[in-house]
Parts: sequence; C-alpha cells; structure tokens
Amino acid sequence: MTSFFLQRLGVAALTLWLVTLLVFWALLLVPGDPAQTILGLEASPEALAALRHQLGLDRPPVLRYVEWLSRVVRGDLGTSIRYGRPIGDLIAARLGVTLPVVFASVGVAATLGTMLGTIAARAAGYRLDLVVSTFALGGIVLPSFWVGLLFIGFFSVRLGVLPSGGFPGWHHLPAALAHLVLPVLTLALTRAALFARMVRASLLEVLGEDYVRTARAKGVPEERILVRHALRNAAIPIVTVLGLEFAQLLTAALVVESVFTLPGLGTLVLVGIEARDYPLVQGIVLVLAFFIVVLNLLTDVLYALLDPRVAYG
Amino acid sequence: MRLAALLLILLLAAGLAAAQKPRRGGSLTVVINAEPPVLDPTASTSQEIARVLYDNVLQGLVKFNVKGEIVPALAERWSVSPGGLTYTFRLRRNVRFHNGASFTAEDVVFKFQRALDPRSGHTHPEYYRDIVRMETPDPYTVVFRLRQPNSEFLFNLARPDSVIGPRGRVEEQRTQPVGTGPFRFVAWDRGVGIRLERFSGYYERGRPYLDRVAFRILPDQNAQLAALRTGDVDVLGYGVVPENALALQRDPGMRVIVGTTTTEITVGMNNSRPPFNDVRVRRAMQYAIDKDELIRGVMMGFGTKIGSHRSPNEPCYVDLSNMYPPDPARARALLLEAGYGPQNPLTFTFTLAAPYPYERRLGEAIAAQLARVGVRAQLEIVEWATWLSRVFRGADYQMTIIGHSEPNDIEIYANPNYYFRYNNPTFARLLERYRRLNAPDRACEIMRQLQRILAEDAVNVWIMNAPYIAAMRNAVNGWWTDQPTPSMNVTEVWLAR
Repeated sequence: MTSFFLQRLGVAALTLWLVTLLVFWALLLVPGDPAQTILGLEASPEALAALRHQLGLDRPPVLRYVEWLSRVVRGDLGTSIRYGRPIGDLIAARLGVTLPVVFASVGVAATLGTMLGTIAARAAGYRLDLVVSTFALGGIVLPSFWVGLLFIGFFSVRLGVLPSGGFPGWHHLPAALAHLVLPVLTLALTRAALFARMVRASLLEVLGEDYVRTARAKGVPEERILVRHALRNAAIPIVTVLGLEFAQLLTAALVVESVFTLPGLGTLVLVGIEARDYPLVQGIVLVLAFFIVVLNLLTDVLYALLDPRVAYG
Repeated sequence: MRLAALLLILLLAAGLAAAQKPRRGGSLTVVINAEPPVLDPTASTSQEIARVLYDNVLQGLVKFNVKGEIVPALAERWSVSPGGLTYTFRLRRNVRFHNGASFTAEDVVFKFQRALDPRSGHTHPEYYRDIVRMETPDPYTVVFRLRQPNSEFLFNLARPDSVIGPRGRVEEQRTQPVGTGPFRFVAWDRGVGIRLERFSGYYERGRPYLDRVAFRILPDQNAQLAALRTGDVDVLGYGVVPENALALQRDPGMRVIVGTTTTEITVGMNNSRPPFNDVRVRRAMQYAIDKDELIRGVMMGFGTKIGSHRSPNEPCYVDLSNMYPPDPARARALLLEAGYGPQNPLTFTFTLAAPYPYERRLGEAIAAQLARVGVRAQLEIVEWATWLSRVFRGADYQMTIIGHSEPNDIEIYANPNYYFRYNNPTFARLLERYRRLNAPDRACEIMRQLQRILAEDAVNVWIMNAPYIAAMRNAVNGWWTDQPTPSMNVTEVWLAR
C-alpha cells in the first residue's frame, strides 16, 4: 500500500512540474508585453523600459523560470504584474468563489443524477426512460455557456427572480447565495445528465445480476432491492466518476464564471492572459493542476481501498 | 374647461420643476467594460483609469466640463502673461485631501516636478516639457514659467494626467488613490469593481449628491443589458452597442444617452510598407469605403462621419468628410494606376483587435466594401496584448482599425515612429508652429490646415467620431451627455425618487 501511494505521489509531482514547464514556455511564445498593457497605448519607451526592468522582464527566461520555481517550492507564488498584489492572496480570494460553486455543483449533479438515473433504470424501455435519457443527452451536448445564457434570459430577465451575474461578496450572505444559484444550476445540469446516464447503465447492469434475481425470488420488495443491493454496488463506478467530474467541473467553472461574471479563478486567469501577467497565469494553472492531480490521486487511493481487487503494484 | 387645462399644465410644470431639483443621498452602480490596470492616471495612459477617477476622486488645477470647456478645479482662477510665458494660478483655500492633509502650492510643485522627471514614469512628460521653473510666492499661488509659448498648456493641465495627489505620495496612489474630489476611494475588489463614497470634506458645499458609487466590471454586452433590466445596476457607463441602445430606447423605464466623444475610429494603414506606401492605394481606399453606409448599416445610425484626425466637438475642427465621396470607379482607376487590377488584385491582411466591438464589426463591413472594388482584405482577429505589441509597437501590419480616444491628439502624426509610420516633415513643422503661436485665431487656422494635410495625404481612413452611448434607469439625473474626455463623471449625478 505504501509503495503504491509513494509511486502515485511521485507521478503527481512529476505531472505538476511538467505543467509548470509547459505553461511557462507556452506563455513565452505568445506575443505581448505586460508593461504595455499596464502603461497603456501612449506610454513612453522610457517608462516601458523602466517598468520592464522593475518587473524583471528584461532578464533571460530560463533565469526567470528557475527563480519562479524555487520560490514556488517554498510556497511563494510571487506578485501579480497586473494587480501588484501577492498571487497567493488573489487566488485564495477567487477560490472562495470557485470552490463553493464547484462543490455545490457536484452535490446537486450527483443527487439529481442519481435520482434521474434510478428512475430511468426502473422504467428502462418505457416512455419515462426515454424522457430522462433525452434530457440526459441534451445536458451532455448543450454547451454550458449557452445553457447559462438561457437561464439568464429566463430566470433573470423574464422572471426577474435571480440576479444575472456579478457577485456582491460573502459579507452579504443571502445576496451572495442568490448570485451563485444560476451558475451552480448551469454547471450541475450538464453534469447531472452525465451522472444520470452513468447511474442508469450501472444500475441496469447490477439489476441483471444473479443475486438480484435471487433477492427477487425470495420476495424482497423492489424498493429494498434497489436501495440495499443495486445502488450500493452500482456506486463504485460512480465514485470514480465523481472524482473525475470534480476535476472537470473546476475547468468547466472557468467558462461559466465568464458567463455570469463571477469573480472566480476563471475570470482571474482570463485577466491574467489578457494582461500577459505571466506569474499570475502560471500560479493559477499550477493551483488548478494541483487540485486535479490531488483528486486523481485520491480517486486512485479510494478506489484501491473500496475494491480490494485493485492491485497496489 | 380651459381653466382646468391651464391648471393642469401649471401643476405639471410645478411637478417637473420639483422633479428637477437635485436630491441628496442614495447609491449608484455603474457598469464599466474593463478593469483599469492601476488607479493612477499619472502611472498609465489607460482610459479606464480616468473613466472612474477623473474629477470624481482626482482633480487638477483645472478640469474639463461636459462641454469640453476648461473650468476651475483646484485653482479658482488663473492668468496668462501677454507673451504666453507665465501662467499664474490662485489656488482654492480650505481644500483637503481625502487623507486629511490640506492642499497647498507645495503639492502642485511636487506633482509637476515629478511629471518633469523622465525617470519618474509619469505619463506624457511631453505635456509639461515647456515648464522651466515653478514659483510659490505664497502657499496659495503657483507661477509656471515656460520656455516658449505653448497653446496647449492649459489644455494639458486639464487632462487626467495632470491630477494632483498629496505631496510625497506616489507608489500608493497606484492602488489607493487619494485626491481632492467629491468622492473618496473606498476599495478596489480585483475583478469585481471599485467603490467610492461621498467625501464630507469636499470644498464645494452641498456636493456631491450621491452617498456611494460602485463601478462594476462587466465586459459582456448581453450580461450588461440583463443587469440593467433586472435592476442589478443603474447605469451602463459607455460603449453600449447600437442594437442594445435601440432595445433600451423602447423601454419607458430607461434613458439612453447618445452624445459625442473625442474618439476617431480610424482605419490605420502602414504608410511605410507596401501596398500602403503608395498614396494612390491609400486614396483608392478612401473612395472605396462608404462611411454613410457603415454608420447606417453597422452602427444603426449612431456616430458622425469624419474626414481627418479630429472630432467635430473639438475646437478648430474642419469637416473634410466629403473630400473623398464613395466612388468605386475612381477607386478601381487609382488601383489600376498603382498596378492592381482584376488579374493582379490588391491583397493584404486587415488586423482587427478582438475586444473592441464597434471597430471589429466595422472592420468586417469595410472588408466587404473593399471586396466590391476587387480588393481582398484578409481579416485577422488578434487579442489586445497581441495587437499592442505587434501592430501598435512593432508596426508589423498592413491595415488595422482602432478608436483613438484621447482628445486633441493630432500630434501623433508628427511622430514618424507611430504605428501609421507617416513621415511628413512639413506636417511636423506646422504642428510646432501651431503650438508656439500665441494668437488663437491664427493657431486655429493652422490646426485646420493640419487636418487638411492629413486628409490630402490620405494617411488613414477616418471613419467616424464614435458615438457616446450610455444607458441608465430613468431615475438617474445629471449624467454627462458627452465625453470631451473619457469620464464617468458622477460629481453632479443624483437619483430621483
């Protein structure tokens, strides 16, 4: 078990390092100058040169990368060029919006998906199944940014019940929650569709097993079979998907944040790219990659714990 | 019956008069399209900074009013010596900065010494280059001695670059601006917006009317429309797209303001590179582009066509918009003369900057107009930082389109390294004469001549003076109807009940 864990940890660290390398060099290839985006169109060449020097942009890229990496391993993500503030603080503030959205979305998606999937599995082959499956297909193919716009049009403009975008900050708790409803629903609905299909397929498979037939033959009520026997065994693949979904949602949230102009990590990374704020973009990508890698690691480990058949080797 | 009608009219008039009286209190949320990079207009030339802070928070000796006139701000009056070499400003007494410090001549001297120091990073040091010496005979008088007469000096002192902060405070101004304006800076929530609140120590009694103002960053036009309609925000501050303006004009609860700006939407051509180093090709472009059609079709009637690099609301403007009437035959003939015909069509890359909606859609329509005379403009869309480094700084482009929003900026044509790469020593000499003339009428005549030279050389195609389109709830009063300088000026704004 320990060697399995250590091996996974090593792979995770290597992945993170490769990510930093990739992002750093990709950003170097993109044209643009952070100093010009800060100082504006009419900035004098002297002022530009002075700012570039101050930001250390006149030094060789390799040196900049090594310095950045050595700071990062000590837990310091550096200072944002665009905002002149510690990147760690900026990211922490934005995670305060992104993470609640992602957690809530996973929760809603899993609950809704399990319910719909169970209904569809029980009604397999009937009209209800068709309705649920069509909804699920729709949820998968519709892009989330478009669903978001539809929601704004319906709930905010037509009905006027929910805010269309923006975020008032957590100190206005009821208002803050209201601002998060539509983004969470947008994210959750597309994901719920995927869950529903997973649960349906998984359940149908389990419901065809011998032990379910045996249970039925013994006269166990159908509800009990479903909850006690089928759902429980169908859960293993779903737990796996849940972990992967979480990572998917983190990136999907970046798009949805733009639609609802939520001040989360997604809008921050966009600002960073537009302003050529290299350290900021590197920091955000690193943090995102960190989450994804850790989630994958957790899924692997959990899976190994849940299912003794998974080899530790 | 007649008496009743008269009474009704009187009553209505009284009601209107009562409604016209500004009311104190309330808070206002204003949408801005982009986040300023810093909050100090002396540290960056980004227009977003001035939009939020000019006059609201930060003021200079003089300022622009809504008509573009130069009016007193921190100086209550001033005089200019007959030769135009000495400017004497009498400062307002009892002015306090938002941090409690009192404003004196020392603050003025500190500011302009910094502006004159090329290492300070102050924006546009050339605005102040003619200052030789500053004197402060008493704490409330500042005398500027100039090297040579400069007809733009007072204008430059009204610009956002010339705002004055407390002496010694430089670095902090970038993120926590302290000024003397009617509003005090409260917070900058990165990515969300900027909050201001009423400054109780403001020198003008009874101002401002509002208690709080929040500027909220909302780049997406659809999101903006939704936010205004749902009451999340009160004002869309600028850059409302024509179709949204038309939709909001039909809404009885909304007011749409359509005014002028100092933005010349310009099809920039690289005068140093083929094919636009040939004046015949540049003139062909003028005849091939139908500005009226663009304004009607793309901008839905918003905007005023222009024919040189100056806006109709700026002083000494001359209307040259009909110098090259749309004439496809003439465009073809000029192109043929320059060596381009059906067998050898003129082909080039037309670079559009992604974030600017007016310019982008105009660019697409212009490419279609050019196709009518057999010109193949290949569209290329780049995002802002790429545009800045490749087109603006490197002049690595053939044709582009962008709005030049700074007021009174014809001097960019005197700089041969500017991205148009226009090099005409006559123009540069004439501009210098304009600056040095101490006779307004003569200077104005030269300014008109400068506009004509640019149009005759067909340096660029100047499409139109961009409209200023803002939209707000009906209750919002006192909003600036024009933009003589980019400013979401809330100093006189009040909310009706």
